Amino acid sequence: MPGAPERTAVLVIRAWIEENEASPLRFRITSTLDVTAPRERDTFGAASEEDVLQAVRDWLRAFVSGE
Amino acid sequence: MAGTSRSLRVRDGARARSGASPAVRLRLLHAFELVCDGEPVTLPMSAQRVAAFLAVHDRPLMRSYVAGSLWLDTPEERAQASLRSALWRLHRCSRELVEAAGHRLAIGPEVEVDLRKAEELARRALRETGPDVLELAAGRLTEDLLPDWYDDWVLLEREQFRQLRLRALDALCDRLTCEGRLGEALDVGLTAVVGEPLRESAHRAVIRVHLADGNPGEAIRQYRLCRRLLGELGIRPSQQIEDLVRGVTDAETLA
Repeated sequence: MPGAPERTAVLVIRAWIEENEASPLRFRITSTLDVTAPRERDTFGAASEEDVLQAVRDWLRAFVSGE
Repeated sequence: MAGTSRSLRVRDGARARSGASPAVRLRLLHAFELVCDGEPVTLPMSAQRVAAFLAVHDRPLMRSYVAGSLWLDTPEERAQASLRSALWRLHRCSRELVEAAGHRLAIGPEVEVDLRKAEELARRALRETGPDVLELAAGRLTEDLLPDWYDDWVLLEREQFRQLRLRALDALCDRLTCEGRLGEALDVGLTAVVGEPLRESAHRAVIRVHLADGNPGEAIRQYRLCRRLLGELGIRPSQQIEDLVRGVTDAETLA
């Protein structure tokens, strides 16, 4: 995006398997829209691929729109 | 440093120590901190990154690899120049901080790096049962590696260490519970829960502490916390954790 100030956003997805036959997947998602502002970061958990994909979409949308 | 060529000494876990405090201490857990001869040292970010990168890898690295990893989006010549500048600053702090030999760099063998000590203790906690491990490990496994840094290389190293320390905390909690040191076991177990609230093994360990302490009410409270956290994700706790508390109360209470 021409003219936009440079920003770097980071999203980290940690995934692991729990000994839970019904719902073994776990994810921890930590994200920031600006790495120069470390206090402004979100972290939340998820237990399905769909939730993870939605989180990634939401984060990308926020980053592109310049929130 | 320029023009000085020393062979890299092979480091192993049994470095000779005179008993005196190390002249250089590098702290990477919780926050970056460098202490030389007892005095904290302020470094620009570029120099911090070089010191942390070398310390995390704990083996000799090619200069080109260090420069390329830390200045990813920079042309090679400029990255090398930035590396030289950072190394000059580090050398000014202490000649012992970085060891250079030809094309390779390494963190100095006498530098005390808190991450290395914590990793060693965590691994010992997973395989040993000695009392000294219990004493030493618990207090050193509460912090993450450079939690405010977002460099790509830090992210992976942080996750690796976090997994190790959380597993070690679970093991320490169980061992302390077996030894009847329930107050300490609870501290360690709760640290593991805080480290990652979605890990059921941490909740189970805390529940076992409460049961060993004759506090079924607290055990049920921990179970309900786990259930609530997982419920926010639309899932239930595992059969393992349900079985743990089922002996305490009946199914109606669990519902």
